[in-house]
Amino acid sequence: MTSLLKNVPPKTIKEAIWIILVATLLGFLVNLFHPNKIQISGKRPSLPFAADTVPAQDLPGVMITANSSEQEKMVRLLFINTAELIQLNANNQVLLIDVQSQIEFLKAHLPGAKNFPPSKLLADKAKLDSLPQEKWLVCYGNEPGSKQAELVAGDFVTAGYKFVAIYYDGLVGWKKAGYEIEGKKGENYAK
Amino acid sequence: MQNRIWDRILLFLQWLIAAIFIFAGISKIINPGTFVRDVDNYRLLPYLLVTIIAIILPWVEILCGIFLIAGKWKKGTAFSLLVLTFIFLIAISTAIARGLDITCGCFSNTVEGIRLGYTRLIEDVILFVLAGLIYMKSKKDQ
Repeated sequence: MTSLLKNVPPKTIKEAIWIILVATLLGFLVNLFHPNKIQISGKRPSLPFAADTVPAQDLPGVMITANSSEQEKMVRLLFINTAELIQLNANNQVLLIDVQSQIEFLKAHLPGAKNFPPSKLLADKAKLDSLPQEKWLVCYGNEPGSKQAELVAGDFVTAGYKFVAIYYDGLVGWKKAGYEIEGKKGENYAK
Repeated sequence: MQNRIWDRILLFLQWLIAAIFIFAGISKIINPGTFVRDVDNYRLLPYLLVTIIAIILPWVEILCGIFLIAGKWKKGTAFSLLVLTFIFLIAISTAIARGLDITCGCFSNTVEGIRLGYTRLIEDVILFVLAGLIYMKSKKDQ
């Protein structure tokens, strides 16, 4: 890499540096006046977690703001963390929805989770109807902040489920917290 | 004759890559929050650096695109694009290797995002090769 850079003419590097400098100037200037400006901070903004003290039944539900068309529905989903998931689970109010692929699901998933990969969930009415309306459908993926979990959660909301949440920490967070998993990689693999 | 055809093809590719980068940059500026989250999801950098990169990177992309179309600072622009696509390549490869279930953040204007996978990797390899071709051409034109 160093030898590669040595072959680059100084004028080229100078131009590249100028581009970065101008981009930096423009970036910070525009960010200053941007309506959704980026807050420069070393601390990640906290997610809209529900407070631990709130009883599970009173957790805020999912709100839908219908726009001009059905397709433009804005879905605000509830994110929960490990502590909240355990709290909900203790009251037997949770059905865990694992959005990983079937292969990944078989390798490892949270105890008692059902596998719902994102594809064609809404089209499978029988599968959708098999889920309880009175329980919290808590979707999660492998990694924290799984977009697939958000997609599936959105599908549940669209299908009319009122108690839908996303377990933000995902399988990785669950394992990191030291809790057991099921599956081929887990301790409780059901043979 | 053959050289002229090749030059025209390269010019077309140059404009194409410029359009892609300008579009990508604008989409990131429109949705800065989504882009910050996308970059953060790679889990490669501390959050402070993530925010700074999210502010600067879209403008680097836009400037590179504009300069490519305008034909100004051609070598520096092509070199910047080469470095940029190389960094993207590393980020995407490591994310795939770590099995991250994230969106790539390439175009942050889509709500559902574009999921990271081998398709994105191949697309980035193509962009990297194109940037390399433009750089070689600009060096030859020197």
